[in-house]
Amino acid sequence: MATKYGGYMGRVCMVDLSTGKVCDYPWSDEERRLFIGGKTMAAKILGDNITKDTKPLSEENMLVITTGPFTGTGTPSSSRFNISTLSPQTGIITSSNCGGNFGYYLKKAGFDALIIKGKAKAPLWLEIHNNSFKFHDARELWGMNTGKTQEVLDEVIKTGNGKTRKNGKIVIGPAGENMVRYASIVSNERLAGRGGTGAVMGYKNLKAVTVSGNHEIQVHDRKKLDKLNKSWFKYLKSHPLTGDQLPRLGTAGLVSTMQMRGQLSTKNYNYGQYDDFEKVNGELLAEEFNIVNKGCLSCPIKCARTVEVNGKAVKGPELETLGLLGGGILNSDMYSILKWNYELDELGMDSISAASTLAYAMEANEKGLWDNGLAFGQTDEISQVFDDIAHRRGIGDELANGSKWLSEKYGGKEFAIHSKGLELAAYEPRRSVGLGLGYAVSNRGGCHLNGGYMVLLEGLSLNVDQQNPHGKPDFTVMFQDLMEAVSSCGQCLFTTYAFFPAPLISHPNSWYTKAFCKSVPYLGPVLRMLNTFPQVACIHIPVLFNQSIALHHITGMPVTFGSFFKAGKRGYTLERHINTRFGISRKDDSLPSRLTDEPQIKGDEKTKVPLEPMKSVYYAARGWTSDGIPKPKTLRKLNLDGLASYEDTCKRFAEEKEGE
Amino acid sequence: MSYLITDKCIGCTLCAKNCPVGAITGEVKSLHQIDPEYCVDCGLCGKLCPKEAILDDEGAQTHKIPKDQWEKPIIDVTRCVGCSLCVENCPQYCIEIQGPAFKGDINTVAAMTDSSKCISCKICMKVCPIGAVSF
Amino acid sequence: MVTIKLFGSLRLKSGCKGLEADVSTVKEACQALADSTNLQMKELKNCVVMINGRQSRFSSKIEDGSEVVFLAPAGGG
Repeated sequence: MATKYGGYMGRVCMVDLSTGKVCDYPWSDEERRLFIGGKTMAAKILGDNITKDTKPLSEENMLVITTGPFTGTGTPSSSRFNISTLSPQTGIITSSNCGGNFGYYLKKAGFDALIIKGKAKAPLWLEIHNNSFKFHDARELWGMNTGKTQEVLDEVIKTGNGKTRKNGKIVIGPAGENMVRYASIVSNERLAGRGGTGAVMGYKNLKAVTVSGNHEIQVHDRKKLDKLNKSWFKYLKSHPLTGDQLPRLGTAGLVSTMQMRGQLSTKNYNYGQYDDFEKVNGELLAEEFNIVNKGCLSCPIKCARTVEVNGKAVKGPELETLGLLGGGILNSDMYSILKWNYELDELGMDSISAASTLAYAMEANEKGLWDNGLAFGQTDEISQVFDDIAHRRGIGDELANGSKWLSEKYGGKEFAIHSKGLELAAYEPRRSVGLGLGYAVSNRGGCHLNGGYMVLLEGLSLNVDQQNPHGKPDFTVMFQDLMEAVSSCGQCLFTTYAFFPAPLISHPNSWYTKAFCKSVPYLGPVLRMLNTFPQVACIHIPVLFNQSIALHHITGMPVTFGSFFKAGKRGYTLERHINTRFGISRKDDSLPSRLTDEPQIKGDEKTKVPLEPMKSVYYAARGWTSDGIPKPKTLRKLNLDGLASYEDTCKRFAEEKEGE
Repeated sequence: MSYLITDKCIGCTLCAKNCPVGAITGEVKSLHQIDPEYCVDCGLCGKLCPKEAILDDEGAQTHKIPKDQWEKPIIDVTRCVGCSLCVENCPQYCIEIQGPAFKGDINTVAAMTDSSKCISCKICMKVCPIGAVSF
Repeated sequence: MVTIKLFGSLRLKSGCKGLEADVSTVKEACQALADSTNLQMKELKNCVVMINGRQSRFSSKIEDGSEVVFLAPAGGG
């Protein structure tokens, strides 16, 4: 099944763990053009194969691991791969993006995507080399932490002369094995953190997958791509965000800014500012703890930190972890956060959901709803609690189900900080109402990235009025779609910061920055035009938005900014369309009432999220009904009307097999 | 694509012993074989073979080159951004990202850790997206 | 006296966490910083300056006992 497009390997393989059979999954050039790759491709595959009755922890559920056309072509920050599945945490489709090297090696093995379905009878791990698939017994690896597992696997995967063969891995830790609802899948030191992908892998009795190969990734126009890459790398290095802020401070550098803007979630989102923030901010991390900058494969930004824990150099925390395990639980000891962050990685658990569930439990205890012995500011035994969660021991067994489940059992829904079951990241939406909308409508639940990341405009980089809801729904739609498209190419979202011209960010006090910030609330109607008719933008935006140009050079598809934008819109709507099968509608696009009804600053009624009116505007901008269901007309415009049903896919499969 | 051993091979085992990915198999004094599933086109066998019995991935004859004439990569540190594609692809594990001990300086670059291990395969040059590696 | 604090890459570049100075406008605060650290006036002009948590201008007045924060432009996570 070769392809006429460059950048793709032209094959998608499907492994059925129940039967041990491996086969090619049909994926046409037409689908490549419409769905590009990454999370959009995964959504299409899932949409074709799951029904409304599919349960997340069942043999029918699939783990769809996809790469994008950019992966492995040398484009900046393009090593990312995506894991999508039905989430045990939310019950709907989830997608999790990871910066490990698995995607790169998956392509080197000759595959664009790997689909895993079924369930193995006993724990096993899968070794893939080019076209050979070997199942190995994983009983000895079971129970092992993620770091150790990867070390052991490296010892096993040897070349003929005893050296470790270069390979990419995904593994789960104890949390995944015990089906903690927010368990992650780990590749190198990077995690596909959110949505409980690890639990699905654990349910399938799959401890690890290793992949290696010697295929070359061909691109359509190597010369033009090289030229573009050179200037693109240079631009990213010179941009104030990707060339200075992120390498110098990592994402952790935002803690101080968020504090100043009242956006740092504190004490389970009771407040937006933390008095002791200077003990847990990015500056301190950089000055006292960071050993060296690290980054994902092919990335010039290098936002990852390396810190020392117990005498070992390990990955440092990201902003969300610092915020939620710092101010979120009133902890002011930086070293403890570094240690927990490492432990959570080793156990294979999402630090955002773990921290937020912990904060919920602390507040529930404080309010007398659930006597669990946890309290804000009391941090001695948290390591033990995390270990208990991963092994489902004691209260850990209940904490492992996440804050939504707990709030249904013990009450306190108003302070269980989640949307659709997924806990929010550390940004306080009451002082960033655009992100509040994003959290609520995001396809995978309370996610800042899937939610459009409006907070970038609302204080982090620019100074758009934080409380003014006008214009923000339209911006949210645009950012969500662009990020979806970039993500589907296999590139890191951090490259999209370059979308904001450097002077706008490096000169916050200049007249043009001020003018831009002031005009955002009035730009809604203009963006609405673009959102409704993306194809009119039949141009490229060089330098600021190189992605569409790169996609053209890599694949040879006819691409413009408009059609690229439309592909993102298609992906976003597709995920929503699939979610509606599970009954998702307006009522589910919600935030806990603490964020929508209680003002953050007592007496200032503006400091809460005016969610309902923004949602109405948002649905209109998306072409969805007022109930949040994509209209047939919208689906038709995005070529999604003929979406296959489960039966169609089975038929297509049968035909494909007969043809072979 | 993969390198190929022709029947000029005398079975000296030199290539099999040195192949960085262990892709060559064969008994002493018998025709050796390269497994195309594992060959990474590094060209070391071609440089070593005393009988010049090896064809490269495009089918061209390779020639023996004495070890002291192997070219070593030159990494332009002003251009290198430390993306580590070369590190990930180096079959000899002899390039590493060298970060500054983090105090103010933010640039990390690739550097050769052990040039005696380098086999001049030029894979690093081939994968570098910004042309910072030359020979 | 006014407490001046630095955050973001400014703090890493200068190695200075902040200082106390007797100033009455943001401009004077910038001057005080430029005098005692390796930061240039130009860089300081392009910072977000917040007086007691409110964003202010280059010409804003600072009352005695205030806290002035200089933030370098930040990114995302």
